[in-house]
Amino acid sequence: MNFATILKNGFVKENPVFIQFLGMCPVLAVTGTATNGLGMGLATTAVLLGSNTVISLLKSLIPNKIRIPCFIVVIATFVTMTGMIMNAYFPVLFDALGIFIPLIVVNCLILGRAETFASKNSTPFSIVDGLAMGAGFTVALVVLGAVRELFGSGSVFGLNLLGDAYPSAAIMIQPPGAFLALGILTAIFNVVILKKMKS
Amino acid sequence: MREMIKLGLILLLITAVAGLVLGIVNSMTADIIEERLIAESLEAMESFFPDLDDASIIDEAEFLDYDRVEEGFEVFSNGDVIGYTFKTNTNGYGGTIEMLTGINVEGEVVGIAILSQAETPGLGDVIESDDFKERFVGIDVDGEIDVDTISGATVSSNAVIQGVESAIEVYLEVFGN
Amino acid sequence: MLDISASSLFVILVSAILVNNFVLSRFLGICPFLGVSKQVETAFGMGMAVTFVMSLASIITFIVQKYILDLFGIQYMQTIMFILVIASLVQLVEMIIQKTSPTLYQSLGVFLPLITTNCAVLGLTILNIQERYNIIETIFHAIGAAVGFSLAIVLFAAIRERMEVANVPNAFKGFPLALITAGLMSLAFLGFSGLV
Repeated sequence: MNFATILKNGFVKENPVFIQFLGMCPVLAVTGTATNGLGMGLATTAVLLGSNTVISLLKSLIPNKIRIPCFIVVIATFVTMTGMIMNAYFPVLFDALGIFIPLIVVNCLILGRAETFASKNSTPFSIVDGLAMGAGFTVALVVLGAVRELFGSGSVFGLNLLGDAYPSAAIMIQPPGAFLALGILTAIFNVVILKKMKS
Repeated sequence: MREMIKLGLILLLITAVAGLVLGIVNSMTADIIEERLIAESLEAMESFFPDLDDASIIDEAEFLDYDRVEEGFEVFSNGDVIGYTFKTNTNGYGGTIEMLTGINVEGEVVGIAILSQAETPGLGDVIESDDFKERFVGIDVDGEIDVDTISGATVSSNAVIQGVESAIEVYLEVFGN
Repeated sequence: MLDISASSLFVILVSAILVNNFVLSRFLGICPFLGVSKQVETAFGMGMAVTFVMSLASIITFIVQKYILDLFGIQYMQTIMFILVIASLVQLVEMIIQKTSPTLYQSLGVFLPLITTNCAVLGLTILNIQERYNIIETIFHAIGAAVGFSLAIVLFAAIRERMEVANVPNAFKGFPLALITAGLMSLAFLGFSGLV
């Protein structure tokens, strides 16, 4: 195991969204705009980084039998902390993400990394893993957010790209658009991966 | 059994540490959050409390049972309390109407301000007009609210009336007598 | 101050089932929705297990919020407390069902551990507090949410059973197709907006 493989896993081979389909609720719910996607991605990364670090440090102290509740408490602590900091310094984002901030606790990605990686590997590796998985998650959210925002309101990151003449397909920023956009993006990701595997 | 207790104690210890850490972070961020909440409403509060020079948040625990009231502020001028402002959320025609109601220490509504609304343009959004907002000025908290709704915008007007009603209810609950 | 009217309870119920369906418009509980929906029977089992945990969790977290968090002014412990309540509740329910009804355990048992990380449950308990529901409204909201979740997952499973035999492009096989289907269902549920 080295740092490069961990990074590559997070971005492509084990991409949390397009390959592992983890943490689907926030992926679908907050990607109405690229900005919200980025915010949720970074918040999740912060929690992942914190929980991976602490859990890898505590791994020998936590009894195996109650490891899941312990992991959850650690994760919930970082989630609450992230929420407080966002409420204080990024209020607009905090309001936009709403209930999905506390729900980062149940993002299977974070508990999954705690269970399969941080509780078995050294702290430096766990930190890199947290960063890599967080980055893979963030990139996926930003891409999905950008696509939905582009078709749904003609802009990306609030920047009007398609001009006023573009008849916004509001459906893309509404709930159905989330499913449709992610479905099509996953299919495209599949095509690319399938092609790579053949060559 | 002894093992169960041991495991329980370990989990309790971790949770206690978590609580301690969160308590610290909370005390660091709480003031900033409070200041931001006040700042968001300050300009609107100044429109009906012209003498306002300071405001503080009323502890939410005082009015937890009132669903529609989101926040309460105490309004100061030269160090004296001159009135209170309550932020309410009510359901209009197009979505939530977020508004402020100011009540002075004599128990009189001094004004309202609409912070956000999504009512039909040209119809429901007349609740933002000065003419409509002034209808609430001078209402006594112990009396009836007798405000005419705007024809064509009954739902929107009623939502605003409901907001004022809720503000008065909380005012009476917290500061009545 | 408990002001409850039958009509407001009805609105909460209908809104949670149809208008703001937990899965299709609030995006809560997507993981089990996509993961445990290949067969109608398992989907139904999951729905029942979630219903059970949601109702109990709503009542317990309501009490925790009122008599622990609000009382001591430690609202910031909400996320930790609620998720611990849900996790221990799931564990407890699992043990009780295993002891008392082996048949029920066989049909529900496998889903129970998955419910802890089902964001629909934690989401519901937080929404109950955010919307400042009283205890009666909380119970109705929980029932609505659970029925809405079960409805969505069972309908979805029924559609997916049919899709298994459909001929689709390779790139769309499996997950992408499931997402598109969910999108169309969500579109149908969008028709309920404005109902209440």
